Amino acid sequence: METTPGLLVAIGILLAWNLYYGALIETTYPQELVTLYAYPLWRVLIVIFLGAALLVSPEIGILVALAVFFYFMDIAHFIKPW
Amino acid sequence: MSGASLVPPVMKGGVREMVLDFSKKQMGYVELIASVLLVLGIVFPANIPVVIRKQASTTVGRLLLFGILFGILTYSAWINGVLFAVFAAVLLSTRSPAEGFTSDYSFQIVDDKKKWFIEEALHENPLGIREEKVDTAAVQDDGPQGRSSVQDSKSSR
Repeated sequence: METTPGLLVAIGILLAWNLYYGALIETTYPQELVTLYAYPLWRVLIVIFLGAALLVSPEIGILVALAVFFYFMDIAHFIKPW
Repeated sequence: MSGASLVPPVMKGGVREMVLDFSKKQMGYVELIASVLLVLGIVFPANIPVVIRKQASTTVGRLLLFGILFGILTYSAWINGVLFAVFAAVLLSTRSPAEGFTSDYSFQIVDDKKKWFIEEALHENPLGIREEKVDTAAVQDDGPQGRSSVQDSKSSR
């Protein structure tokens, strides 16, 4: 897929979003995200969304993968910290 | 001697060919099953046995994960490689409580279907509960007049 201006903007927004929230020490997840994590189907949908993002563009997919990893890791530790 | 007879004979067929042909034909199924297993591993990382997670967190385990990732990137689609990287990261991040910082803190997320009657009656929407189980004991009667058969051995005089 060729890099269009729209795709570049999306990559920039995702990169800035990851950097911004990655730089914060304490930040709260939205209540909906915390509640929905209990449902396995929601997590499956997130992984499918990740697959779709990887198909759209490798850059977007990798940035989404980073966000998905932090979401899964944070909520899992929230439930059972190690 | 003429040069026509110098070409070494190449054997066609045999078990090797059959295995290669079979693996080529079944590769799609293998990748599909591997992808489904990866998705399940990402979705349910806590259900993977602690022993496997511990071994994956060792040096050998991490090298093995890296090798598998390298193999996937070499022989399969790169999307599967990214999925495996996410799986490995989630696997390594959900370590057992025995390693590193330990805490007796536990937290259980409450979904909307598992509400107590009192929560529904009072329209409460708890996000999580701190303790899932509570240890209870029978009522003990230590009074001199009211001794009953439910006393345990600790309260006998």
